[in-house]
Amino acid sequence: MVKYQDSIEKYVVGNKLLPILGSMVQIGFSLVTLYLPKMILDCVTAQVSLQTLLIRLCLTGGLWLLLSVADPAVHNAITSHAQTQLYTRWIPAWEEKTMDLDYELFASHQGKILMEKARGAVSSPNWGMVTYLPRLTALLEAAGGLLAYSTILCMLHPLVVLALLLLFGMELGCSIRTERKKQSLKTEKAEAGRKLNYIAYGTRGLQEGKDIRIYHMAGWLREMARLALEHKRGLEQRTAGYELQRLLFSGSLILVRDGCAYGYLLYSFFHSNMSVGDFSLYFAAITGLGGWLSRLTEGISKLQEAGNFVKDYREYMELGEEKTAPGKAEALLYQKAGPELQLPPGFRLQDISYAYTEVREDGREEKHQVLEHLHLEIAPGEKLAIVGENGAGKTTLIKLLCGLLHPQQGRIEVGGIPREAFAPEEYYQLFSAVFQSSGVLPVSIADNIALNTTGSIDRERLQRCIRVAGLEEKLRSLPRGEDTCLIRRITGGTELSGGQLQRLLLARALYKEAPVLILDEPTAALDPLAEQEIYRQYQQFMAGKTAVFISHRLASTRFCDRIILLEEGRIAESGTHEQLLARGGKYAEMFRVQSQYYQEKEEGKA
Amino acid sequence: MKKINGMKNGRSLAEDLGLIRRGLREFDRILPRQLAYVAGKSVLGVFCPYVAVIAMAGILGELTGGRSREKLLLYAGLSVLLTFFLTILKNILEARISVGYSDLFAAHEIHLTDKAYDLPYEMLESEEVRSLRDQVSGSISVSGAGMASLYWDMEAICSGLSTALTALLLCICYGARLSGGLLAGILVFAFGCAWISCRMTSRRWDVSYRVFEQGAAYQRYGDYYTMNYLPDENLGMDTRIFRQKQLVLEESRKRCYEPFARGKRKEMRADSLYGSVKLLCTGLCGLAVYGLTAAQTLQGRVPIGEILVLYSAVTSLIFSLSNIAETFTDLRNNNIHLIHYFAYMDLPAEKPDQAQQNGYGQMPLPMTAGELRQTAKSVQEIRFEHVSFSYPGSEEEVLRDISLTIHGGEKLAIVGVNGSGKTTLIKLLCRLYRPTRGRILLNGRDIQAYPQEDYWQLLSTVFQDFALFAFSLGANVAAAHGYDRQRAETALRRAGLGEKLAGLPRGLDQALFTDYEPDGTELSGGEAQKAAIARALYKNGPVLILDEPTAALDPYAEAAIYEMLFQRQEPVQQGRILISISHRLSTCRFCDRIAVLQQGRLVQVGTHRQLVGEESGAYRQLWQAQAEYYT
Repeated sequence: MVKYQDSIEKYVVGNKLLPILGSMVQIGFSLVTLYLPKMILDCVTAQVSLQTLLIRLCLTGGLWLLLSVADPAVHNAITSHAQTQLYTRWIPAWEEKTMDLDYELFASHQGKILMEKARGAVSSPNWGMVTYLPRLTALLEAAGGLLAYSTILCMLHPLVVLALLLLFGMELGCSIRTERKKQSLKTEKAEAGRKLNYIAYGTRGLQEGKDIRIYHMAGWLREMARLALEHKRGLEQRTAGYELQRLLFSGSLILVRDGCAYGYLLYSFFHSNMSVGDFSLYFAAITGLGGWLSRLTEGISKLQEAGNFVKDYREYMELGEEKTAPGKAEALLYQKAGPELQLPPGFRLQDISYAYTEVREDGREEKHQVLEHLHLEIAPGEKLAIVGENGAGKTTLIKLLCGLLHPQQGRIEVGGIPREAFAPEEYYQLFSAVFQSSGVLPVSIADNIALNTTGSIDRERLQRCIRVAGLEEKLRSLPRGEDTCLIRRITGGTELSGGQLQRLLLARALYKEAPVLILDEPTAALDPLAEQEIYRQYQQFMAGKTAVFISHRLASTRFCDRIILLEEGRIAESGTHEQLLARGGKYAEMFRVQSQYYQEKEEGKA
Repeated sequence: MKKINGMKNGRSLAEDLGLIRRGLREFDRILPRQLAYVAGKSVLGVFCPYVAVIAMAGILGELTGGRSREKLLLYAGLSVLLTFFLTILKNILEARISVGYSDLFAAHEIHLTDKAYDLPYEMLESEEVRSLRDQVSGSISVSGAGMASLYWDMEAICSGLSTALTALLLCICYGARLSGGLLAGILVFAFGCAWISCRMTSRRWDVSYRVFEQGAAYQRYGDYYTMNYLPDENLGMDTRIFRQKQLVLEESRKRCYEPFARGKRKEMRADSLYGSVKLLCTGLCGLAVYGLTAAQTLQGRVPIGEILVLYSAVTSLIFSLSNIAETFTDLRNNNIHLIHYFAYMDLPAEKPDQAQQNGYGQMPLPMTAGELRQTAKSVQEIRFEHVSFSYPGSEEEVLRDISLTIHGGEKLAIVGVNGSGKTTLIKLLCRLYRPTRGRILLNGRDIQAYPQEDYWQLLSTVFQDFALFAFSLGANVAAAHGYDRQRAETALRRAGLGEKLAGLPRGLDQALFTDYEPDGTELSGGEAQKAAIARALYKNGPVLILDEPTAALDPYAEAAIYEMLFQRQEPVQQGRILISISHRLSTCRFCDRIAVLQQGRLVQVGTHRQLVGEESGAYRQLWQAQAEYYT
């Protein structure tokens, strides 16, 4: 298996020789194009013989033809080279990086921004990093072309070049002023654009169809759409007005330039020995120089833009993969000795603190202390339930346990060995999990369960897992059984209902045969009968493993050996279901609220 | 041009032209007057370069001939001034075009959504209609095809046609002094080159089109991995714990990136190959014109400036002809997108007189104001009579022979496992679907016989997948732009959002979420559900329907909502019917009666006490599955 990231540095930009070749071809082509009519006019005015005319025409014309064909071919080769890089290296490396990245960084605000920027850089074959080489070529061309034309015009008179530069400077000044005016509308336009986009793409009248009809919302929504479109259009009109002013100015400059050019060249024609061919060549060069100048300024900003894509991508690719955790030195000692684990392992969490950093809309950072000086021991083979209100830190605790997050304070030991002594992959190996919002891949059901690429799925083990998870019935209904692909809109295969998905995730967790099982609210989407059945399967499946289980519904945690109640980042209560009920604390209160409607002693309602 | 006359993509030329014409008319509806601007701009754009060339020809002729200074100045002056004025005119049109263009994508999507508002609901829910809509939206937003292609291609066709006509005219005017045979020869050569160019261009675009068509499937894989799966914070836990890396890398490479790279390479190779042939032809033709006219000039038959004019006319003739052919090929390929577009736009709209049209019950008599007021205050009875239902295009009966009477002021719970038909029953009652057999009566009148709008006026619903918009909280509660603020506040307070409302700096005017206004307030799942409940309370219809109203709420919030809705009696005034679906059977305890659905049949109806008492009943089984944990 190629590790894409290793070779990325070399390929981030691609072959730099191509742009040089490409720009030389194009400059050559434009020079010959400039020269060809002059040559013919000169031949005609000099009254050369027909033979001489034909020979010259064939030579120059041949070169011209050759260059005209080579020019697009070289440019296509450059684009093609960049696109191949994109698909064979840049995107796969981005994917690899996204999966290798330290989870905490991956899930952080900063990580997400960098990831998204890098993805934007490699999201299209016509945009982003792919444009770097073609734009580099374009800049080289502009610089070369400008040099060549200036040289030609210097032969006419150096002041001509100076005058043209002056005109261009005026035009540039005007563009900059216009750009500044447009910029002043930018925030307003972005806001109008966002509103319009929300209406156009955020509300499509499909999912919302029932409510729109029953609450007669169409009139309201149409009105909002009309307002948003009108607002946006007004701003666009203003922008277009600024642009029109600029074009008027630049049109006047061209009027002056061409007028002067005609005047000066006619004057020269009558007062010096300028040929007709020279007259047309110089006129073409004068009108052409401005083109090279604007290509140069445009080329610089375009290359900068492409350079920013390269920078975004590189920045993401250079992010650290594994964060150095506290207690590293001690961990290294263990690593040397080689950690020996008793399975299933127990855990010891000592004095754990953890705070999330939330970045608000206005860029301010806000810290949320989730866990505070938490102590927890989980015995080998223990079944532990974690309950608590939303935001009490249940999921964070589980993420810390699995090694996805690193405690900001305190230490975690697994079977007596510090967590840092394990390589990340080695540590993940210990866990099987069914998370709150796990998903599937657009591959076959068998691959979704085994997640194995070597092609050697243990079919017997697979069948056993499918049976235990209760997925057999669904598979029997499919002609291709476990080889049916999931996610219909992508693979044309099948879709799973909420209950079937839970079973698939269970089968997947089972197939992994890891010694520690983590379950995070796996049944929220199920009806009572299905929920009950899934619980039975879990119970069966947890034997001989250390298991940690989170649930909203307190009652479902009763098959666990111990329940801990998290409150404000600490363990507020701990014990068996009966102990906690007897204690009459928060747990008992929560249980009472949930169960009151199920108690047979009816009160109040008749 | 055999290909153009014949069939392409299975459509005749006439059919294709018809589609294009219809598309243009439709485009004018989405962005009025844009097409006229585009046509005007492209015609003006053609004249600018010729002005300069013709003037230069005149000047060169004068320089080698009469050398009259007045004439020279006249030519030069005319050239610069004409160019100036044409450019200005063109820019003015361009400004209008850019304004229209910046709206195109959003306006197109809004146009599609407008249509969605008028579709009969059952169509909206059908997989076919949804994927048709995705296809139509995607063809413009992803690949700029469909209406957008039509627009750009119109510009190319307009400027191609005017260029070709002008060029031909110039060839004839300026070539008049050449011998007739020579001129004919040049024109034949030019048309031949144009024909080859056309063939090359259309082949090149056919390659692109094929690559694009195949690419859509690869794109779906790539997008899923790079946009949905890998960046997801939750799925990132799966990729790590289950070591999905190799599988994902290999799958995405095999299913997306490798075929994509192959397709792109193929496209580029085709571009270089066919492009070379095209350029060679044009170049040769241009050189021939140079050679021939120069030779004639040498012999003094033709003035010198005409070399330039003829060269530029002939080469632009070739380019414009092949551009027209290229664009036309693209337009014909693009027609498949227009076909999808019209398939969507031609879907039937919901008609007010649908009941009559389908032979359902009586003609819907509009309710008199008094009648409406009376019904809005109280509904005496809702009766299901032998209602059966299967979804359109499906044989399977989701509901079978349901008969049930709900009395005024009653609170009814509907329970059953997933897929037992609870939500479908609600959809029938809401007149979103029509029963395949049997009928539903409200106050003794078939619900299909009420005017649609009037009937919906009676319902206050909170669906499982309710929708809130990112507009202001108040407008969301009222489902309208202008509304009664006092009433909205009361509804919010009753739904348990009083505290939330008090904490909002802009109160009712605060937008929800941050999609529309950056300072909008985010709602938790539970708060969103409460807002949807507030909307139902604001509307205050005599029939309140709740489908899983508390699934996202924690136990405390759930209990509070139940108490508000069921126990205090406050919102459910006399004569108002309340129908509730819930997974959590705890709701049932508050209801007068419970209806139990099992595989589309109504198997039990009764009070909680009665049903729990029925030893082998479905309700008892469901109840115990949940209550087991709590006893």
